[in-house]
Amino acid sequence: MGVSRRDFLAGSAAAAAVPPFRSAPGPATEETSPVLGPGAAPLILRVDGKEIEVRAEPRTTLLEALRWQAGRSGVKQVCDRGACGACTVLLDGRPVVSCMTLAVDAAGHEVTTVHGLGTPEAPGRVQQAFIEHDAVQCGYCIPGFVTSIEAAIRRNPAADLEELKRAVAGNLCRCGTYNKVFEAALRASGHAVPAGFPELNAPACVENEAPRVDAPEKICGTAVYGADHTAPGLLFAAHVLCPWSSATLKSADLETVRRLPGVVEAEVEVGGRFEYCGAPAGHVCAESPAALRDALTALDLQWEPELVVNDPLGQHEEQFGPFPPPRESLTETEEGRRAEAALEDAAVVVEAAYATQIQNHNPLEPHGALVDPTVEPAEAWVSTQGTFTCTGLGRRLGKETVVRCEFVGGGFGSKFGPGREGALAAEIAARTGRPVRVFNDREAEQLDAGNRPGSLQWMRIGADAEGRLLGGQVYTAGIVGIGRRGGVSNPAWYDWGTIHRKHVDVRGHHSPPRAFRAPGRPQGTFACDSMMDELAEALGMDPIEIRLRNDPSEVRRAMYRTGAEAFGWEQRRPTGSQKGRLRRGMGVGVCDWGNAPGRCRVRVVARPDGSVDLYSGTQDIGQGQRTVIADLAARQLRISRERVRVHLGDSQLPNGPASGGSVTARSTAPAVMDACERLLEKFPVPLGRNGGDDAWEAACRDLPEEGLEASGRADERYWGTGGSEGVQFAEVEVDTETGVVRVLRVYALQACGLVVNRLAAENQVIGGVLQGISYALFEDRLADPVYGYQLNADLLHYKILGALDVPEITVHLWPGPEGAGVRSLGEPPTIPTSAAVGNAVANATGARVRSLPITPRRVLEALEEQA
Amino acid sequence: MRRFEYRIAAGLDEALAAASRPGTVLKAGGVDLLDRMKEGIERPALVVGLQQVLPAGVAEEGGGLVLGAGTTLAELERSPLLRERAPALARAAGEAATPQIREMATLGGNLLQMPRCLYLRSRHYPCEATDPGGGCPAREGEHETHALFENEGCSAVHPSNVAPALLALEAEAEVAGPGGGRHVGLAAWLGAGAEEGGRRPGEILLGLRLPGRALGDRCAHAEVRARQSFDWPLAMAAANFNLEQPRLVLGAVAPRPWPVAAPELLREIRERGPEAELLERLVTRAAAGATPLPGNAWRLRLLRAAARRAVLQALHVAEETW
Ligand SMILES: Cc1cc2nc3c(=O)[nH]c(=O)nc-3n(C[C@H](O)[C@H](O)[C@H](O)COP(=O)(O)OP(=O)(O)OC[C@H]3O[C@@H](n4cnc5c(N)ncnc54)[C@H](O)[C@@H]3O)c2cc1C
Ligand code: SF4
Ligand code: FES
Ligand code: FES
Repeated sequence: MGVSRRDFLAGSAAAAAVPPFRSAPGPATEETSPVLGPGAAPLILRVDGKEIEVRAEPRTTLLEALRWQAGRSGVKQVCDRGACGACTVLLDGRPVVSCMTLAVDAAGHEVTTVHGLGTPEAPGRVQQAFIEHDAVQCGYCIPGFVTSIEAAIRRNPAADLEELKRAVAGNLCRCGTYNKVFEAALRASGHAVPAGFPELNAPACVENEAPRVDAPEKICGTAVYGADHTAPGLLFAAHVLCPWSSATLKSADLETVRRLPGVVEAEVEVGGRFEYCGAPAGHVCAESPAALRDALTALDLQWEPELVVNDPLGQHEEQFGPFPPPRESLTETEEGRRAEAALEDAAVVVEAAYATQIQNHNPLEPHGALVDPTVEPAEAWVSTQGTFTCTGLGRRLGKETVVRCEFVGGGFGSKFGPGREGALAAEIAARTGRPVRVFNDREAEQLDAGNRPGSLQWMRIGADAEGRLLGGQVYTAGIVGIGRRGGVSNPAWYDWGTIHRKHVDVRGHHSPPRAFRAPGRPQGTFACDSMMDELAEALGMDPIEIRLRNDPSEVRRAMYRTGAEAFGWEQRRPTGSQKGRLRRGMGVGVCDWGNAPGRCRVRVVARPDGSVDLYSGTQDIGQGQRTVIADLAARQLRISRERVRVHLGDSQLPNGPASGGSVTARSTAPAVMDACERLLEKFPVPLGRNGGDDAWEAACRDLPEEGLEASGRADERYWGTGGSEGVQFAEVEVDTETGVVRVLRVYALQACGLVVNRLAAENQVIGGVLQGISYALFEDRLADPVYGYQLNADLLHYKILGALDVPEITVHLWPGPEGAGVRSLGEPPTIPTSAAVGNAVANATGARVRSLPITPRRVLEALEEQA
Repeated sequence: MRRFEYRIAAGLDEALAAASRPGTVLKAGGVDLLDRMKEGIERPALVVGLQQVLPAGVAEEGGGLVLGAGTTLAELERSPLLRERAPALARAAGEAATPQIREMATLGGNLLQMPRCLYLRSRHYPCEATDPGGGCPAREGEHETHALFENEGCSAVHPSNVAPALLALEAEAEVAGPGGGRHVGLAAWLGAGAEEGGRRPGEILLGLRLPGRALGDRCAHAEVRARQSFDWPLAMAAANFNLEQPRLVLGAVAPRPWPVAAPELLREIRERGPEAELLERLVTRAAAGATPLPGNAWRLRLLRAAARRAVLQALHVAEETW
């Protein structure tokens, strides 16, 4: 052999003072090394300082071994392809993704998981900093972030912000908690940083500034989400999906599959025709995740795809004629003529077409359920944003069933009901009498687990010389795939004058849309706020000025002034006035939200030891529901929060609303207040006027052992009425040579009535802004134009914003009037962002991108068009 | 992933014997291999681990540097030797993928990973590159990130972040093969046919040598990508002015790292400095001969930007000044 490892090293060995090659003994010339597998064999792993024996095949990943055999469910499985960092562990101190590491390769190395860094009772240094800064929302990504930061700080105990950001550049957070993570990381590396914006927002914060109550469990990895739960004798099942826009399933090798060891059920609809990418064509159920995957592969599906029109413009053309429609077609009706007539006195009329993309929800915890009929009553562990939307599972199972969802890894509107995943789990459980788990992998999650419909929007709007809107035409199309309801909120927010509006839903061959955080609003707002700026530009008017003249909301009019000053709007340069390669621009966008509280009940029990239990069946999907209940109860009872325990995510508890329409807190708050007031009324000894812990403890001492109980409902007396107005300012930098856009800072003003918990509220706003930026710049469902498969059905090529794309964000919570009550906060802050970013890009360059996402290609094309 | 047998090769001979056997694949960091196996496009019967076989680390040798093929991207990124003497490479490694992937991915594996064409990477599509006669669905389909040069057949771009910098550093590969060992220029080994020194079946990369003449702080790597956190570059370039004959190599624009043939211009730039007019001629030369596809012609702008930036950075001229 001419070259050996030694020869290669020979030359360098002498000179190599720094750093030497890692050497390993390699004398063998025979094939002597042992063969592992393909079957499973015992394997000793050293995890968190302890030796653990698992059974692993060579293909078993470290992630699978840790989650399913070593009890380390804080290590999360999200993308399973190295792109999200949720499964990060330390291997001899180095951060690696355990989903791309073979378990056998980890043998002989020290594996450290989030569990090894501390516990909720005794959190580690990094965990403690995360807790203090409320660096967590749904929490599903957080153990990965904690582990990455831990590695960075071990390497450099005084790491600075840049280094810390880089250290989490491989961790994705769908809720958008990055800014809080940065704060926490800085704190952990010895920098003094405030938690959020105490000076700006403490006056608005009526109640609590403490971190959320369930932060320790989530951050230390002990919180058990639906996807983490397991049960003895568990079966694993999945749907078989059609990858094509339209196809007939010609054949499937069911015979082979049914004979495979570990396969319990396999059904597919051979001969069936499927009309969208992601359509379920059958299912497989097996004894283990590996057997399930083997079965899915062995099905060897043969499809006959058909050519259909896959692009939105083509679909519109096919179904409704060209987009935008000819103007005559819009002025045929009386209404259309009236709107057109309103333009006669216009000083300017602007016509523009806008488009927004299809955005997939991608909560990091996938959709799914584990249904267990072997316990009494039966249990359904569902990843859902509506405990009581899943109670139908009991009927499918044919037995009384409790729905459990104590921790939920995000939903954003896509997780109402048990979904087809829950239904399948219940059906198989009913047939087999065994617990069944159906959780999507990331491909299934991308193909058919919810999306925000795309839109095509055309506007023709006139304004008078003072910038007052006179009216015009608005034509919108929702890109809904095989679904319905692609509604777009356009026109929105302003007094638009005499508008003629028409909407159509354009059908196609992708999965049906689902509600997505503020359905219809970001799409409509992107167009409406872009149009406002285009009109301002045509009139030579400042964008704030034109809004002040047309915005009916008094609150927003005040926000423009305050925000402009705090943001430094006066430094905004005239649109298109810059010449250099890097150009900066500022833009603004707005929102509002209103909703009536839903029905809700809450039970409260005071215990003789002075502690208090609150029971609500509702769910916490990351918004901080537990914390809102705890803080409000403490407020009403005039005691400290530490006395309060909250129980939720359980269908046996009092009924409450699903988390949709931003009503969870809005509905629960009145019920908590009502329950607490009734409890106080029931006290045998009246509490002193001022309350306080001592008085409370004294009053509780004589309570009966089972405690004193009261129930409340969402009583109108406590309703929060009114809207949740918001205004956001964004500054961007555009590289005009490459078209790359970076958002530098965002100033977000947001009203939400009573701020129950400052940190949680700030976190919601930051998350809304970051999802908005992700939508504005990166996200896009990339489908093959020919056969319609979603090519980027992963988290590597479906781009969600990451740590290095995060701007500085200031959250300015806008105090409501006295007695405002709790209003909505979940949805509004994600509405204005894409519009603000789009307007800032136009201001920087003088070239407007009217389609989302604002990619380098579109920026370059817009610049070219303008030149 | 389908089932496979796994063996960690104890020595080079064992690895070499395995490398030539059908149904067997080698694994270094395993990132790309696991990716492919999970995608369902790689189904080996046997995987042979190279972790005991591949040299790892960066060391000085003679006037140059040697890099073990088993060195991780993170080690390249952090190596004080590289940061000082081959900053283009340290930077290229540090910009690749994510921090976690960089801890796992090896130099050799990064160079030899499979291209990122989304059709190639999907088990749902047939494709010319893996099954002859399968056709190329990218041509009519999605090809925004595909090649601008040499794209008549398969247009998937060479995916390695570190390859352009290594070519600009005139890296020489040290490979072991069934017929013995050899030294070959990396450009030829990655890009040429077997007759011209290209990669032969069963060869294992042991390491790379960077000659002393190529080293110094006048080299740089620049890339353009849409998302900053981690993303595949839309264009990249590495420039090296340490050499007597300076070099400029592009990446993510062709099925192989793409050297720009402009020797006089590069020398002129080194002598006179990166004057605007010279740079303009250079980037025009860099884009010359491109045959873009309908959906990716716009990336020529990015190629020019990457080339310009690499040159400016290599010469330590602030970008904002032009
Ligand atoms: C989220 C994510 C983002 C990424 N982003 C980037 C990016 O921006 N830029 C980039 O360049 N890459 C990127 N990658 C790809 C990644 O860098 C490669 O997968 C990795 O470098 C491969 O190295 P490895 O050691 O793991 O290779 P392996 O998977 O072990 O091997 C890859 C291939 O090379 C062969 N091989 C390996 N070593 C040798 C050797 N010494 N001799 C002969 N054959 C060998 C193997 O047989 C195998 O076929 C990304 C990957 C992920 C998961
Ligand atoms: S570009 Fe190459 S890899 Fe991609 S589909 Fe075409 S032939 Fe296959
Ligand atoms: S699950 Fe491992 S990186 Fe996403
Ligand atoms: S907190 Fe990060 S994904 Fe929810």
